[in-house]
Amino acid sequence: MVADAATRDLLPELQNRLFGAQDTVCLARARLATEAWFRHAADPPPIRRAMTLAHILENMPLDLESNPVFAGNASSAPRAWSVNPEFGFEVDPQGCIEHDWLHPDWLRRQIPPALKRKWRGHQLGSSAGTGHLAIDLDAVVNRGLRAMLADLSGCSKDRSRPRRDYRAAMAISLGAVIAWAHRYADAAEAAARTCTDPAIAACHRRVADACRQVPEYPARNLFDGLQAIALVHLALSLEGQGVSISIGLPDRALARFAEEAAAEMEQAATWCGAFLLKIAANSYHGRVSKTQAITLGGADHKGKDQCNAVTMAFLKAYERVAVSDPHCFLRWHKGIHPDVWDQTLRLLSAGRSMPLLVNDHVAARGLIAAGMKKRDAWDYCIIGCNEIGVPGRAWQTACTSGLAINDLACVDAVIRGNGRLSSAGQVVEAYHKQVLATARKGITARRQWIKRKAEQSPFPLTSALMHGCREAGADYQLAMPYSDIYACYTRGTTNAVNALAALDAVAFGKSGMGLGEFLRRLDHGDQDLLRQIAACPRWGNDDDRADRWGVALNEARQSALDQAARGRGVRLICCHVVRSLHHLDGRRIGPTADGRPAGQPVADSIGAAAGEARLGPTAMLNSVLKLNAARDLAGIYNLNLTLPGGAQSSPQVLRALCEAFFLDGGQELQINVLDAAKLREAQQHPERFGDLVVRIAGLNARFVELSRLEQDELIRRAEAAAVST
Amino acid sequence: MPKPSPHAPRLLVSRIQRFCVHDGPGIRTTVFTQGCSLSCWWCHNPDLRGPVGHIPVVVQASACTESRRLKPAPQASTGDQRDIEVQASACTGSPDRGPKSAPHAWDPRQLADHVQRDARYWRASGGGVTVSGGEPMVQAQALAAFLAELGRRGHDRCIETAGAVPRDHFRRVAPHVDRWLYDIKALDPKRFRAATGGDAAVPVANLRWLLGHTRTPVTVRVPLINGFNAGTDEPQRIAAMLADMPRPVGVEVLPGHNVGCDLRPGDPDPKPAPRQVDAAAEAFAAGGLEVRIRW
Repeated sequence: MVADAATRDLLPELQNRLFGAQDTVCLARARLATEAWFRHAADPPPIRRAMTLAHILENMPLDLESNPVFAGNASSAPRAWSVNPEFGFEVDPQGCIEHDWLHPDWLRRQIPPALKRKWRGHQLGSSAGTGHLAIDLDAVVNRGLRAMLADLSGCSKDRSRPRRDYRAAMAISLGAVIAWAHRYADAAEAAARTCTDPAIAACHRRVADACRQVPEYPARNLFDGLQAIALVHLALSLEGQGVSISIGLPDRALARFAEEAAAEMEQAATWCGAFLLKIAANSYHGRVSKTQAITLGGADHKGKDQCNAVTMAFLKAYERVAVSDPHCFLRWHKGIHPDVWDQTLRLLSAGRSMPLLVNDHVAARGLIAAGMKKRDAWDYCIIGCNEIGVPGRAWQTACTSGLAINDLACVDAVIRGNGRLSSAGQVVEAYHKQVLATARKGITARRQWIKRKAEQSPFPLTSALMHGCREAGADYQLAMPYSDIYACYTRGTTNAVNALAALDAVAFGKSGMGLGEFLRRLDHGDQDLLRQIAACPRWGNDDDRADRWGVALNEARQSALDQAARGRGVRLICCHVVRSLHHLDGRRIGPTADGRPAGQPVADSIGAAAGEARLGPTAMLNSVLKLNAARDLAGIYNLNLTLPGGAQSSPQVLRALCEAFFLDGGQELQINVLDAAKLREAQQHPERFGDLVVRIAGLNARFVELSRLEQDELIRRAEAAAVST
Repeated sequence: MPKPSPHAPRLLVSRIQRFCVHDGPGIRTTVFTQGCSLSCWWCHNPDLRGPVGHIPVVVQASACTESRRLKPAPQASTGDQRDIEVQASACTGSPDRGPKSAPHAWDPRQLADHVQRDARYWRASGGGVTVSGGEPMVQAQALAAFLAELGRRGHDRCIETAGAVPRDHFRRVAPHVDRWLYDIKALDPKRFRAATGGDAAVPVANLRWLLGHTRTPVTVRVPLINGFNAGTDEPQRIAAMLADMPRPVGVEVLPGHNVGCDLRPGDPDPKPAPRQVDAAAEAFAAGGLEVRIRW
């Protein structure tokens, strides 16, 4: 391989180019999709989708300029919004929370009127497919798409028309991706001939060589492997998947090349860095995070550490490039490779806000308890903000449709709907009933939704890359293994626990004022009552008077979910997912028993509410450790820990905090090392802090690109951390 | 859990701070005791300083309504102070209340139960419990009981002291200590008395005894205070004194700051000039001591 030093030197320029990109819309995919979609209107839906993808990949302008190290693009310019007109022109409301420039009509205004007219009455809704999945990356890298086509040929005697159609659609899609790679190979060869910059010409030659091989055939080396992943990943976007198409476990898929990476770590880290920039350029909402999670490390089902030199190369790449998406998770376990762990702690201590940590022992145990085979459970990865899934095998573990419970709203509804409640324990019982009713309806709604989605909006390329779907000749939404494990999203748990503690102390008992009086005064904003509530024990301070309600609430929720699922052929696992939804939820909820004013956000984490970790991080972690996460939050919780810089966040201290937390049953930890003064300075002088990446509730972001609302929230969190430590 | 004896000595604690990383190795829980034998004008915890005789007033003002029969020793001259005995027959202990809570009389065993909630972090980091103040050695009897309890549970124990207490207090506490952070502020008797109200010879004599009679690691901390010992020959004098001790010690120079101080009008800013800090560190290094500056 040539021009490696030159490629390394290219990284800062590629990064600057990416960060400097405008928030634009790319209509190339929209126009091509429109042509093909209507041309194939009479075809079965899977064939129509496959023909649309093939038309896009055949005609989409190629991009060898913005990041010449790897081939692949999902739009005509880095971070330009690639529109999926077959779904809709909606803007994700969370994006509007996270970015001041984005508003609900922003995309609609960019769409030419003729295109809008064309699609009126024909759209599937939303703005893209559901995403929240990771494909069988191992097969892509180590078998190649040609082998998958051969699998499909082996099923050709199937007499079922729908299955035959579906397999045909898969074959068209796989073939289209191979042809796309060959288009890139041709274009790169041509570009290399005319390019005057030797370093760039070398990049083109390398791309041309790789794209002749992958993803059609197995990768021959690390570069091939990364190129295969990039092309297939971007093709999934062009197929129409939305946010959270996760990379999965790339270091495991690329493990064959670990020796190569170890021998030339500098080169491997450079390629991984360029790869991250390539993925970061994949846009759906401009600069809004697409949460294309990468998960590294971890053990297998026999307890063997799976870290390798590629793991290290990715971690080193995250040190070099300041991308916020793809966000990175590291699977921690007792036998984690010490070098990988050291590098992780260095990154976190330096304020990189990544990788986010997941404890294998708890996460895998939760999936096994939910019905997964041990081997599969230990192959888990993150497939969204922080949701858990298994590459190619489990997707609905991160699907929200029909099953979402805001604990605070639920507790609020319970106490307002039943004035005869006389203890916090009774409130929890009533909450259980409410969750049970919601879950029973939710299971039915989810089933109907999945069936409808699979019929109307099949994804043959995605499905071809999942286990079991080629054999079944069916869409991944129905045919993947573990499609019987549904996620139930939850939020507002911290507020609900604080509400229960306040009700217990102020409303109920011998000296309590009674529920009716409590609610009357609460709704009138009675300052004396609010002072009493503020003096009550709060979740996140290692205070059993509050924490017991956290345990009770989580147990009650899971018990209700188990009861609802009994006899229905499904298992429900709870997933505490926030992203920016804590703002949106809060706007819909009035004043609540935890003293939260109407309209204010609910907690952004399962830890203490903002500014309420009064006794510091260890007390907060101790509260969370009282939860049985593997049983009650098997879909993964979202735990933010913000620490000030300096000695309190040294690698040694972080190591001790994390290891103590994980060894005693902690499940997940998202560490932000933030300095409030630095954040304020970045707010004033964004031009100086382009590489400042932070963790919000469910995504990483460049601080300077965030909305004022989110920036202020992070500053408050950093201020609170400095006080409480 | 067995109930504490109503006659057991109580440790008067003003606050408990978790996740401390500056008070000894690893992650530690620092227990700040109430009451001090000195009255340094630059004190960063003036709420803990106060004349010992005033402690009952503070306690009565606290939220601890169950504490009673508090029997502090009367105010005595520095270096000749008797152990403060704090007793409470029914005080069941209260949780830590954050940085500025009122004093609470703790049963040593219950205090050990309470602080060891963070034991998992101590174990993971090589940390433990540090008792600071105020002057923890003033309450030697209760302090020894608390430290012994921690010792039985296998936890690391560190004492932060200025050494201005009778020798008996050291004899009583020392067997239960795993490491010491020992303040030596100045050797000049007049300077010391003017700034702290105490006798400069007492801490030095106690340090000599400690180093001669125990093998416990001792780190000497020298607060470098503008308007007190910064820019003077105290670092050289302290270095020479330490060189003459029974065994070597490490030295940490702690540049003063004004955070938390209760300065009166006319008091100088305690923060020394950087060159004064460097000069102090050089003086200790020149004396053959291992020195570290803790900003």
